[in-house]
Amino acid sequence: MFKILAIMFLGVALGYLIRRWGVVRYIGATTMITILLLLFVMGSEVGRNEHLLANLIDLGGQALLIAVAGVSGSIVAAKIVYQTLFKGGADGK
Amino acid sequence: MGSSLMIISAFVVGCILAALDLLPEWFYSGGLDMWLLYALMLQVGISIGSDAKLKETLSSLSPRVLIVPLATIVGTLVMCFGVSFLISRWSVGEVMAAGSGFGYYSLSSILVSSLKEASIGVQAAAELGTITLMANIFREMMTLVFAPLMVRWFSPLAPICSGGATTMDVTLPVITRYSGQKWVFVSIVHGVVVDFSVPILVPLFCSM
Repeated sequence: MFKILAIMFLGVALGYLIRRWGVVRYIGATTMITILLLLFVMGSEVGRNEHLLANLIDLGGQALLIAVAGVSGSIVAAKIVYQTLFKGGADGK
Repeated sequence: MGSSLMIISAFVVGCILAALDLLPEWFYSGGLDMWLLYALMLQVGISIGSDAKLKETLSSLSPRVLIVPLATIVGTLVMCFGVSFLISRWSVGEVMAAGSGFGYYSLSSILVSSLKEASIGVQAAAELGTITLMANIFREMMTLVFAPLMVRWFSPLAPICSGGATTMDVTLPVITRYSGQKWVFVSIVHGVVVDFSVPILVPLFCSM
């Protein structure tokens, strides 16, 4: 796991060093291509796995539950933070 | 939205080709996914490091702005902790690992499936990885679709927190549109901070 963070920071350093080079313009495109390839490979790993395919709906249901949990926790937290920190100051306290 | 559809299509195409047995054996054996992950992390780092406006953005940071990603993380994890008791199949740590993707589906899913292999076996790890992938895709989609409602009922910060790690790119346009132009800075900083937390929190919960 630290390998991954280390690679990211290496990238940050690299990015900073080459920041004036023309190539950085293309980083968005290359990143997108990498993501497409990665998702393609991940799709293939699901597709070759009959057990996963058969249970995809069931897994999807669990995924939806987790997603709804995360989103709802986030938006409630957002509201709390907004009310306490960002709302206009003239509240007459 | 368009790029998200492309990404999901790539997944579906890969899935179909594999299911139809059209991919060669060598495709699966080289640890291709890990190499692509490393390439991705490197490029994400490069795009952050080469950002001309980054220094300017970071120097005008205030503590108040950093509370927003903290809210996202805490809010998400608390609810994932709670919901884990409804999903008997997975442990609390496993559900929280999936939730710690904060919408960053490509990174979180592959982290989960590779890190959990040793402890729960290849099959279960692949299942959890797939759940992680879907849960985080759903999160991104929900943000894109429900942003206007979120702003109306839960404040302009809501789509930012909901968007998680995606708020500096994918969901930024929709946040700009419905929360307002003034939140762009907060959204970008939020995205960067949450982005960095994914490779820290996902492995952390995977090890619990």
